[in-house]
Amino acid sequence: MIEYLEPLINGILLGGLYGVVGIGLSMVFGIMRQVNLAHGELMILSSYFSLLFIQVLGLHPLVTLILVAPIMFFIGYLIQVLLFNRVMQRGMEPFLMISFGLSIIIQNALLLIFTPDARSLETTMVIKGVDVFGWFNIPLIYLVNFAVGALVLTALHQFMKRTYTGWAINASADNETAAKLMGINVNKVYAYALGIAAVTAAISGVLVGMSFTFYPHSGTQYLIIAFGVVIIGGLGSLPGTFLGGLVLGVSQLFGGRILGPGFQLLSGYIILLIILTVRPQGILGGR
Amino acid sequence: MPVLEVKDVDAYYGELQALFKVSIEVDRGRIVSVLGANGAGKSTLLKSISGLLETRSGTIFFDGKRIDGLPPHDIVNMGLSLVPEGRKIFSSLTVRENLMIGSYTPKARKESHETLKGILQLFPSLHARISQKGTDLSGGEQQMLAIGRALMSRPRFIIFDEISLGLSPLVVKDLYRAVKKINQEGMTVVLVEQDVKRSLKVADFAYILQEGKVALQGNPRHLTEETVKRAYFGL
Amino acid sequence: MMLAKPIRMIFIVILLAFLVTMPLWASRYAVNVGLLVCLYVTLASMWNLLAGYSGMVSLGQQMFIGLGGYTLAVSSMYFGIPIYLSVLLGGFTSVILAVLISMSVFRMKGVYFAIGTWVIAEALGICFSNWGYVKYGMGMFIQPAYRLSMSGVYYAGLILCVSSVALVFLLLRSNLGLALMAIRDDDQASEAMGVNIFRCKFICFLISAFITGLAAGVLYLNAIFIQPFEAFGISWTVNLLFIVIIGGIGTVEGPILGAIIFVLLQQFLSEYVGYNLIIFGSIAIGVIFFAPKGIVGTLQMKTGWELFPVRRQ
Repeated sequence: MIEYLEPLINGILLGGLYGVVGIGLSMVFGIMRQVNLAHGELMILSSYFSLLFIQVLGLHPLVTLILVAPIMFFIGYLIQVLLFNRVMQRGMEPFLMISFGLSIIIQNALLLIFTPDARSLETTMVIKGVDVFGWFNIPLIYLVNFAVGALVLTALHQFMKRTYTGWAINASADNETAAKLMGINVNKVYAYALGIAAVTAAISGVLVGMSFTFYPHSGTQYLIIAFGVVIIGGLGSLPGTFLGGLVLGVSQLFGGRILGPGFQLLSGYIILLIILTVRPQGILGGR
Repeated sequence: MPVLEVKDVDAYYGELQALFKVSIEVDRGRIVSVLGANGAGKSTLLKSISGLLETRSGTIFFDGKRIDGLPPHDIVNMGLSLVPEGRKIFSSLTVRENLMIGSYTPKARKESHETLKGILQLFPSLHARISQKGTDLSGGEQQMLAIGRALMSRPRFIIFDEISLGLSPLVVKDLYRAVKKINQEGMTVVLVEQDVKRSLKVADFAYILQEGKVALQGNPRHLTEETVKRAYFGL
Repeated sequence: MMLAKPIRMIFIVILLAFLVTMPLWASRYAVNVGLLVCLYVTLASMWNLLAGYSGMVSLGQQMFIGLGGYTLAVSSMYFGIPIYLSVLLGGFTSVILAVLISMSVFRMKGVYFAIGTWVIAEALGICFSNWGYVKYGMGMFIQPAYRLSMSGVYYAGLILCVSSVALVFLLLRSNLGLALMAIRDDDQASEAMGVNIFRCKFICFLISAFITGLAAGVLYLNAIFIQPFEAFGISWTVNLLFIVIIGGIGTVEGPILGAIIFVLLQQFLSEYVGYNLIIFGSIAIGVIFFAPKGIVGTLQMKTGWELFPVRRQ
């Protein structure tokens, strides 16, 4: 019994991180009805930015967020304005292709600049841990991930519920025409939305960089995780994304424990496929 | 000088022409009706005025400034508001949030709480439902919400697009009472309707569209039922 | 204005003669490039059949590439089945896979279908890389393929390519094709008129699985070595997306032109390792902005030219 407690608890904590990984994708998916295939690369780009600031300024990884987050907001905003806004009305394929093209460009640019070597954002939080009654160890970083994850999701939820920009984003997603009639510049709103999505990508990118090693091509694997989280939890639901993260995290670690470490990702995929087949709108999905 | 001047406007949906040199004028403080059968071009005209549809030729002046070619959000900022057909209430927002988003423009934002109070006085039934999801309201209440939302931007000019659609006569009576009250406080109103009788009763001036053209215009008191019907149906 | 029928036929005949005689006069390198073009045309035509004509954007066609390739490897290496028969078997196992997953996958719409197919491909990749029978992630050598001549494999690819283009062309001119285009234009209206949407899409799904599996077999006959993450990797879809978007989605000629451009670009840019993919990505974005219907699509729109006309006049 106890040997299942560890994957359960660590799965939940990992799930908090996965929630943040997914939230950026969920916003773009839920608000603009488009799939941003470059989301994973925005995350990893943030990890590399953080790496730069650590090496050049000697900052602690979490502190680099003060610089990385605004940079990524700006990048997200620009991407929407320069690239995505042009093809919003044209259906699914053009957006897919542009975001894919973008992801390839970012991936290979990172490869050129930083080489394919494994990297990580060094922190003692990976080594330090919390002992649970002497049964097992929880890495401190997992607790930090979960805490930050919960914080980000709560903050974002409040932002969407209480600010004019948050309402404007929701309104544009509900009905673009009516939103325009409110005096909302919908294209600008979309740019803000992608900027915010990029900031969440930045946060999750730094956390991921601290928890695991990363490579220029790591973006793809996190993209799939993001999809998993969003689909399982439900489109357009922030609490749903958090829940989706938990479900995915727990399935992965449980599956890894039962079937073997090589099958960790597979367990997540199976749950994802089940949800896609049986309840595609996700557990808490509505819109 | 009329507060709204639409001159010789042509509008297209793709290659299909929907408006043919349409011209209308609205004087300040008046209620003007725009009538016509389905497909006559009423919606197209409204979309052109509010900036949702680009016109291909002709001009539209609001308060002496040219607005054709401007994006909708700029036009709203200038004080022209449209209550869209089908209400289009935001489903992720509560009644309160739906109203608040109506005051999105910088000018309206400053006075949003005052304006909100005024609207709740105008439509008391919204007050009871203030925290409910916007789309959980009845048809009539949603229409009131849509009107209230448009008023939140503190416009000087409001267009109502088919507010009586699908509603019971009693509810429509209440709505029209509100429209008259709004007009009495100085608002210029354009009423687009299928309910000809009711609309003509309140209007100071009427335009009847038929197949994308203005078929008849005039003061309702001077228009007989016969002439209206003929213009409406193109007989 | 369509090219007059005799001109079209002559053009096609000349093209075919060129392709068929290639091994006789072209260098080994050129024949290899020709083979790659043929295979990409096949794969892209099948992807296009799904996405451009049946409205099913699949991001998981690589599941059939991987399965077809591994079927080839296993049946020829472990069971000693003649090599070209093994290729055929690859097609059949792909169809079986398609049937098995259709229960699940056909309940997914639009972008969910795209992600679902992608995830299934990834899942298969993980399974194969953890399976001792196929030598885990280290991959398998396909020994029997060593003995094959370049021309033999080339002709296999050419036959496959020509047949699949012909198949798509004939399919679209058939009743099934009419139904597909009706569905593409208006889902609900066509259903009201008695078109069985599910059956149409299902058949296309199976056909594309079969042919993709065959193409994979020929592909790995040439490559001789198969590895799970490469075989089931998303790069296949990336390349097919690129080909079809540049060539023109929803046209018969699009995949052909796109494949030619893609393979040539790939060869040309292979010298600029590192930058080549960045250039690919930029070209893709550029095409979306300036020629969204692809080269063939834009040409068709402006001149009404069609090499393989599928619309009834």
